[in-house]
Amino acid sequence: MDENINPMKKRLSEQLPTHSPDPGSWQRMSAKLDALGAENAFREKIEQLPQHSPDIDTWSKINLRLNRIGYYKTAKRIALAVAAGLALFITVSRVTDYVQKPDANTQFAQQLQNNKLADPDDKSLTPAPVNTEKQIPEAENNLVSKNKSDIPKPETKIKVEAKNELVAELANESESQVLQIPVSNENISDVLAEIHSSSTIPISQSETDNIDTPSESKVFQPELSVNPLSNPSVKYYTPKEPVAGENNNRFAVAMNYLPENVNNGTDNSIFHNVDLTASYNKEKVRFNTSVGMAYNEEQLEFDMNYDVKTPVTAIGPSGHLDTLRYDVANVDSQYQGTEKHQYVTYNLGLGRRLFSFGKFSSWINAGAGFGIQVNNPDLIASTQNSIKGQYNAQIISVKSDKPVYNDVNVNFVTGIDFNYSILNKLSITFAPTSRWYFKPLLTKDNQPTDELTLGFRTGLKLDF
Amino acid sequence: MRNVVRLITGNKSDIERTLVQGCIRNERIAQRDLYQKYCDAMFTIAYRIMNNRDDAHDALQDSFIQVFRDIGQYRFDSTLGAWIKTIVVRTSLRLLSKNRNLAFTDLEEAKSDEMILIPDTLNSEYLEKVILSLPDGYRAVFLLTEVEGYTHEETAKMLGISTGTSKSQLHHAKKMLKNRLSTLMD
Repeated sequence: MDENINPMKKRLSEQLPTHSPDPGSWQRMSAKLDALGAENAFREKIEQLPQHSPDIDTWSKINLRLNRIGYYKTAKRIALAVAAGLALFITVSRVTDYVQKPDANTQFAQQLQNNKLADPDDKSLTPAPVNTEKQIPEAENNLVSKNKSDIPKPETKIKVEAKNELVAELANESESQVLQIPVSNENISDVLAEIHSSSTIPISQSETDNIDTPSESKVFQPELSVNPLSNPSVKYYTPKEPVAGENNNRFAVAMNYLPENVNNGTDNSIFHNVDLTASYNKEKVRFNTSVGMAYNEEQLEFDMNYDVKTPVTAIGPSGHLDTLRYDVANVDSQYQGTEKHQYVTYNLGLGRRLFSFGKFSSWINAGAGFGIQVNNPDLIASTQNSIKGQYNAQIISVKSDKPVYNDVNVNFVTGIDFNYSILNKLSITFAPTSRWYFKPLLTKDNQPTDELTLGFRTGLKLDF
Repeated sequence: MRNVVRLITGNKSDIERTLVQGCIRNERIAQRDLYQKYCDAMFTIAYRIMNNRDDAHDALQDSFIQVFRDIGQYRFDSTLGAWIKTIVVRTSLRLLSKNRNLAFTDLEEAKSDEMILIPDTLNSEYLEKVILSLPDGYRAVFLLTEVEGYTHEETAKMLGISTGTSKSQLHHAKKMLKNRLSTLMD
């Protein structure tokens, strides 16, 4: 069969025509091979291009720049913190000033109260004539005037603030001028009662009944021309109870404890701050400085991978034990432990009184501080040394979520103190406190784990 | 301390990963090691782009500062060398553009790839000199595509030009290089 097929195939191939490539095909192929060769040669030459090395001092220049960047970053954070602190301090101070500012009636009532507290027989204590326009500047624009000819006899002129209802009626007639109100002996008690009703100072009927009515017309200045203190029946107020933080210009020392909640990158870590604070009050402003300790306990878990070398030995020809080779076993261990970190802390700050009421007083504080680490408990390093010594091991890798405890931290601290006077010179303090670390306490992957921390400070303060 | 030990296999150390983690922790020794590992290769790239040693030093410093600043963003999705090289190239191009007003003109599209015949006897130092003698624009495109192996899309993106401009610049760069090498061969 095959013999029959093969002759047929032969015949077919002989009968079919043959073809030849174009005469230029080899040239084209040759050119392509040349191009490929040239490309390869070109690539080869490119790969052989020489290497260049930078100057030796290039790293030191980079190192210097890296250090400078660190300084700039810290300086920028300090500047921002100071600016933010000042803005907060000024804002809160102005708000409290505005809230606490007494109105004209309250000031007037305060003057009356001062006169009552003074000895009525001591004429030296009688206040000199006071220009109420200067004392109550905000009332100036609200004062109105009435023509002198309208004043009936006997008459007295009085300056009061426009919001007083009595004045309000007259204010419609003329604004921004001095008010001269006709006040007769009959209605002066009504006027005083009107004033006192808005100033919370009690006034008795006997006080107004015994007012000497001037025979001639003159400007009524309540603290001078109407002196209710001339009446011996006036009831004097007893001195106020001691008010926490109200004594001016005095030193104080305090012991404080502040548990501070810091995020360590994976969990919350409590830093316990204990400090001794010395402060000096000058009226509404307080300067304080404190020295203390801060510490925390960090629960650590870390994995360590290491090679343990085990010698394979045999007794040699000399009869001694020779090490033929080392068998290496790779070991992965998990460890758990506790590190206690301690810092010495220092703070310098400024405070301003927000308000005082009875035994309570409140202050806003702002300041800056730093902490320096005084111990360096590196549990991982000590474990590594222990493993190296115990197993003759080579440490391959360590995996840990432990943050870096920086040797130095710098922070900006703000807080609002609430003081309660428990004894004459002893008070307790409770203060929500916030710290912003511009040189962080903890870092992980070169990033601070928690720049802003919160805590509640409690303390005991002794005034001198 | 509780110590749980179990035997496992594998888990080889990764020097590059260790270096990166050290740099992230801002450890100066790790940063120095990283610099020393890559400084020659990166300086070479910077020098070829800038064609000036002083400028190349500036570019290298700026690049490594940026590397140490941004190393936290490195995700190990490419080799560390490639990641650093991209920063070096970008920094060098930025400085080149700033110092010498680098400009690219849209030339006509390349019709065919230019074949460069390089004589076997040609010294590689001399070849580099010829490459460095190319105009800034031609040289930048030639180095990025032919020497560093970036695609035209990547080159165009880094230079802020179109892909067509990159191709035409390369074509003319090769043509000029070929002419200069031919002159040498003659």
